[in-house]
Amino acid sequence: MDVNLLLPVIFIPAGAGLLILLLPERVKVVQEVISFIAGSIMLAGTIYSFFFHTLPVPAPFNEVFRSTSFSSFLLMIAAGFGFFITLYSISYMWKKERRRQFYAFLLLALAGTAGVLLSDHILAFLISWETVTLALYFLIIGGEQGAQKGATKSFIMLGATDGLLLFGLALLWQISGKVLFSEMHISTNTWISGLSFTALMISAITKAGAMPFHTWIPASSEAAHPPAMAVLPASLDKVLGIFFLFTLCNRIFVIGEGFQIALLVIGCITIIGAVLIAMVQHDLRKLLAYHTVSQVGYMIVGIGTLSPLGILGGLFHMINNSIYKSCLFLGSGAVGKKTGTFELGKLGGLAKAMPFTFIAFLIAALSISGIPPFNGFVSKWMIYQALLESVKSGTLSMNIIGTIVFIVAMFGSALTLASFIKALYSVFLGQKTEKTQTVLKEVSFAMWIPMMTLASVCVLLGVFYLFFIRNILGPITGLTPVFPGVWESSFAMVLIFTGFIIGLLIYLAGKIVRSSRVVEPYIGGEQENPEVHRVPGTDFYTVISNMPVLRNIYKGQAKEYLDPFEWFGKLGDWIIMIFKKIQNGLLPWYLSLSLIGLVISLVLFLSFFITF
Amino acid sequence: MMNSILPLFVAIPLGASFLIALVSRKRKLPADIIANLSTLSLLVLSIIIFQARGVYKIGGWLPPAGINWVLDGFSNLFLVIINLISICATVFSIKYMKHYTGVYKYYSLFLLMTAGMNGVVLTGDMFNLFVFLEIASIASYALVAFGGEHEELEASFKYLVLGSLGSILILLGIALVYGMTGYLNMASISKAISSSGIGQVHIFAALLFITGFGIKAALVPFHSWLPDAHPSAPAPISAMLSGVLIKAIGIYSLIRIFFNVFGMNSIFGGMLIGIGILSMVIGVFLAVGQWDLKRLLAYHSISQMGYVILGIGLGGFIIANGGSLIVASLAFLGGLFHLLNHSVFKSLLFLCSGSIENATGTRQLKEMGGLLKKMPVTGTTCTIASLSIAGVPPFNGFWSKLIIVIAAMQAGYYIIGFVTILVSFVTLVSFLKVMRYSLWGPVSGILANVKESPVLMVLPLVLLALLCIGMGVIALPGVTEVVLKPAIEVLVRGAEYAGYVFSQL
Repeated sequence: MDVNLLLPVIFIPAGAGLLILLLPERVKVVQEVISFIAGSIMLAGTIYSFFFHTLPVPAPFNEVFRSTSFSSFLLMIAAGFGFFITLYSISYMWKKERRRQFYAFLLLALAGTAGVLLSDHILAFLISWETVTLALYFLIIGGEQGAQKGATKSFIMLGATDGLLLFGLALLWQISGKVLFSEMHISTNTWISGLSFTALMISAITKAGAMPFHTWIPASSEAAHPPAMAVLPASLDKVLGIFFLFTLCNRIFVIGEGFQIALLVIGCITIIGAVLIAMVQHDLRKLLAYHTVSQVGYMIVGIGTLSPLGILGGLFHMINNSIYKSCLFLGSGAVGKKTGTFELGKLGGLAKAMPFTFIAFLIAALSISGIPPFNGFVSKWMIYQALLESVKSGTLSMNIIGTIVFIVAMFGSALTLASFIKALYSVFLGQKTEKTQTVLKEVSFAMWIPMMTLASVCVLLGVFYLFFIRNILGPITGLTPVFPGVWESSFAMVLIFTGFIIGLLIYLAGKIVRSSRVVEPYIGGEQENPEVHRVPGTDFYTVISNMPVLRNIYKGQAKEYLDPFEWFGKLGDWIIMIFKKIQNGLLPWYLSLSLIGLVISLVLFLSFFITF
Repeated sequence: MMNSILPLFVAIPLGASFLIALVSRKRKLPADIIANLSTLSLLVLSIIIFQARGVYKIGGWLPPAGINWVLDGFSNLFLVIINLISICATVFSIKYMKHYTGVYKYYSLFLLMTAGMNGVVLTGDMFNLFVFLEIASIASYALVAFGGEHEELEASFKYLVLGSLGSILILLGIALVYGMTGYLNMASISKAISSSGIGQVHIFAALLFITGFGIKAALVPFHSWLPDAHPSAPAPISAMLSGVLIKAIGIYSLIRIFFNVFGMNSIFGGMLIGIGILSMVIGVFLAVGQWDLKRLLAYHSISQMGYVILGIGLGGFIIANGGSLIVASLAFLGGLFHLLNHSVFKSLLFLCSGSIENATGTRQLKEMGGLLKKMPVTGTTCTIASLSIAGVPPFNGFWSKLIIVIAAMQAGYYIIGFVTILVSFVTLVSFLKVMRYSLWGPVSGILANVKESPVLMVLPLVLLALLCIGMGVIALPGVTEVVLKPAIEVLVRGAEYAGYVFSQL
């Protein structure tokens, strides 16, 4: 067989996934070996195809799959994640149950992702998209005790929006008469194309996890394995959702101002809403999950600006987010693996025992908070610039909305930093706790290498962003950004490093000449339990949750009033209650029901005949 | 001569039924062997004659006086479905029925029911159809009551009363048609109606048929017996009832009469669409609230039959309104494909529920948990069937629902398309619920010692699960040509059926 693109990215991962499913659960090592090989082949194939020689799509499939440089770039990123997560999982999943299920559906998720990114035909797209949903369900449900709840909720929410996707795609097919995305070019000004756009947009942002359709992410994070969270909700689902949103807004539809404003508002609400909830979380995984949601807001705002700079910023932010967010989830997994808990209150002082995890987590945390010189800063900064530009040039309503979104986005970024200070403090700094006292060693290299790699990519992308945007991301998307101002990252980097080194020197100097002594806490000569005097980070921001307006919002959120899953659940219960009245178990009623049916149809027919 | 084996489809099960009653009263083994051999031979026969077409004249008498049996693409499809599910159910019964007494009666009734269904889908004569329909129905009343407990008897009684109402209405309809045209032979009636045009009495007869066969097919609002009857029967019988009986004696007859005898028009088409949507929506919302596994499955049968009727009615409606023949064929394809798929995954689900009930002793979802670990084969096949019925790719149910949705959207009926998707979503919700409570989660204390079912019970599960995975290929153009195209042709040609029958005589 000739080498083609589909072989390494779809056939081999999917085949390997199915093969693993057929193996008995007891078999060890083989599953890891198969997934590692398949993941490596996928990564190698995509790298080769992107950088050296574009691999062709073979004959019967070239009518449905089409590789563009943008999609093969995203494919490479996805394959990279797949590879690192596999590597990490070999150590993390070693003694866990349902390893077979984990590896199989990880590979199937990768194959599905490849299908979504490459497909040009609406049906291939739909099937690949749903394959990813299905894989997500099985990845999450294979987690710890109680994972079935979150997994079911995820599948229900994603299943609903997959239905909307089908509806939207079928409408697209009907109005354009075409089945290939590349041939469609539709304006959203008729009601039916607007309906189609709305349906497709909802399915895209639900996959990405924007508010108010975000609730599946925190629910699934409760009991899922961190690598499963890192691979799908944190990175691949983002890539897919934002990629699709990008395709919708820039390739398929020509969207009007109303939809643009809708996108900006959704993005803005997502940024601020999710970060506010994230601040008060006590569980590391849930905290990260809400930040995952919050970051989507920036991407949507970026794409919603509809200017090349903003769109590139949004896409760049999507790539960055996948990198640092999966790094964070992997870091949380390392912590969880060592300590057995994800409760912030029970963690603390891990920095010394787990230096690599700490450094990777720190860099990723600074990136997500938008601190220069890391990558998260650059992409946010591009989005801000694009927002300001569109405020300058747009209509009045755009001016107002754009300004509000700009302020909220900045504010959201500050809150993200605040929230990660709490997380960093609670997990890595502060005093050791019962759970963390026994942790003396770093996790194995198979776990920290992926984290450190991702963290160093954060730095690299942050420093060399201009090269990346101008020479890679710009050309492959066909967008040329106009930077109103260029951030001199290399010079700033030198300054930052100098500052860092000076700080370090001062710290070391202080340590050498230290004249104080450190003792265990005591009261009146009696040794005290250090646990009593520990300051956990969990209550850092209780003041925010007690603010007048926010208090009510938090209460509502805790009672799940803001969750569409609950709204529709209630509606469904109500409909069921009504229909159940029909089925009361009484034979006379059943008999009369049938006869009523006969009479009604008779009346209908008679009325037809009278009108004839 | 292919036509000469047609009588075997009724003769084999009928003969086997009486034979079992004669020889197997004391011991169970001969009954197992005879029943399985006869269903197996029926399946083989139905596959052998899948490509064959022809008319068999009983006793050599020519219609309209004589009774003829017609083998066309539509009948072939049903023969395969009936006999495929029969063999799975009988294999499953070997171990499952061990705890029941009077198993010979069970097999006798089972085979009578099979004979009745095979007769219904083969016959070309209205009254003959009624006779076979009654054979199958009465056997099924008795089978529902087979457990003999209070619940089973009550369900069977309800089913009996409503089923008899349906039969009476059908008989009345047949009498009216006979009075109007002077024929009982379907081809002759069709010819007479197409020359005289549809009159008001025909319409009245058609309404009686809709109600009568609607009761047999459990379409809303004639569905009310099904949720009691299907769960009460032993699991293999539930699989037969939901998997094939409602289709063979309900849907098949309805479609045959409306398309081939009366000829489709937009009023009938609209009626079928309306009933289809009602069944889909009401059935699924009743299903999702259930906590009894078999009851939940039974309600889903109503909903899924709605899909079938919607797809086929939509096709008829489009043709009657002079719409695109391609879209109409697509709708027929979706409906028939879904019918085929439904019989596979619904039988599988009922057999799984039987396997679970056999191992755990309960049908309540809340009392189960962690069964995927305890019963890996049943759990896996149940997962596959659940995903199939929920319409998740790459399983078979996805393709047929997709085709129905696309047909509706291409015809411009966006609301129908949307409702179809919505119902599919609610189906997904209810099967996620099934999986969440029965297959996943912690193993509850009482179920700690649960073991996987014996091989003979698991075998049909695996076979049907493989079909669920593999049947997606039927959606491929080349395969559809062979498998479903002949049946679609019968629907598209409609009243030309008469010409076909007379040419084959």
